[in-house]
Amino acid sequence: MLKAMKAIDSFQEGTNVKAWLMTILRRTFIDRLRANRSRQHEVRLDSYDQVEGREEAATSGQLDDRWDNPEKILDQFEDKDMVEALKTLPDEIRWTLLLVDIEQLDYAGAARVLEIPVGTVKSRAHRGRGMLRDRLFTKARQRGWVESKA
Amino acid sequence: MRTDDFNDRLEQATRARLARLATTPQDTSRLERQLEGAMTGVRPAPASRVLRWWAPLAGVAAVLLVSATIGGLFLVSNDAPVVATSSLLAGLHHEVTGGGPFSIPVADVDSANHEIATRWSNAPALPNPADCEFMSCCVHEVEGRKIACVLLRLRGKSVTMVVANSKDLTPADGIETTTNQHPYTRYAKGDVNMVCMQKNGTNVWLVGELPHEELAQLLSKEWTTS
Repeated sequence: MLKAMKAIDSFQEGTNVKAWLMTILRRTFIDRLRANRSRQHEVRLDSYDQVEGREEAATSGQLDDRWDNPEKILDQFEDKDMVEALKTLPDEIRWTLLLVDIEQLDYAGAARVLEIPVGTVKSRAHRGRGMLRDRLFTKARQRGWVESKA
Repeated sequence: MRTDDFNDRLEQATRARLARLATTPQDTSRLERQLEGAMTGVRPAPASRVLRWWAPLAGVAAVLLVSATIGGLFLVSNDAPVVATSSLLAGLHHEVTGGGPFSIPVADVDSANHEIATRWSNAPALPNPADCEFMSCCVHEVEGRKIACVLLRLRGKSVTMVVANSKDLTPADGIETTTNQHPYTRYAKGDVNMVCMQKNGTNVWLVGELPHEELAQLLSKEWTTS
């Protein structure tokens, strides 16, 4: 937040304030992440694409068949459950969902914040929602909200 | 095989559930204080420069209070009680009286306690404010802390009752006073008045457009007789 205050001079009239702010928040987060990782293991921030691509290939098309009433099941989850599930997602997927679905930026705005192509935002958002449902389905099954299907 | 329609429905349901995270009331008191401090720290500038930046600065302040708290869901955790600011309570009041999507119709305090308990196993018992009609209830989360919200009606006026464990939600700074020897804290946001009383580790707020004293008496009468 203080970075945003200090960077006020970089704000240009006509710019989407929310997008500008989210860009600063994201860069601050990445700076912190990089600093932590440099003390531990060096992991590229964009390496999740390969990892999660494998995860998606392993699960997509199977779990979604089990959502008989997605609105009802999703409504049963408390915000805390949603946040916990979001926290298990890779950082850039989580940021994409934060910007597109929670903060309601359009794809182009999110692309500018994340500094990636619009198409990548769309695919990450789609993939992220699937991954989120994957996590939530596991919880829903544990709580007996959905039946396990063979 | 699922159809494209069903996949679209899944996507829309997921998006809608995520979007609701942005409407969850958040305690912004700490951010407000930090922001005020930061803005106070901005060095005085020529008038033209102040005017030039005031609008975007105000915009940033507004967005900070919304977006940074959402970001806080991802980045920050804290065990200290959340402060029930006047903004937070007024927001809850407007949401509850507006018939939020999670509102469950109830007939009395017993049915409200039952509904709350099914969603929050360790929920504190709801008080039964004098002369009030129970309309609906819901369980909310504020920075991961559960709170119970109940819509009450008193002589045609809507009153929102917010109940939380004292370790989770604490009143903001306000005027400390008493009614019928019961101490309470009072504060307000615009036309919305709010009073907070504490009993047995539970904080109870009554929020509405009724005068402070009247709100406080609703609780003090109930706690005097129970």
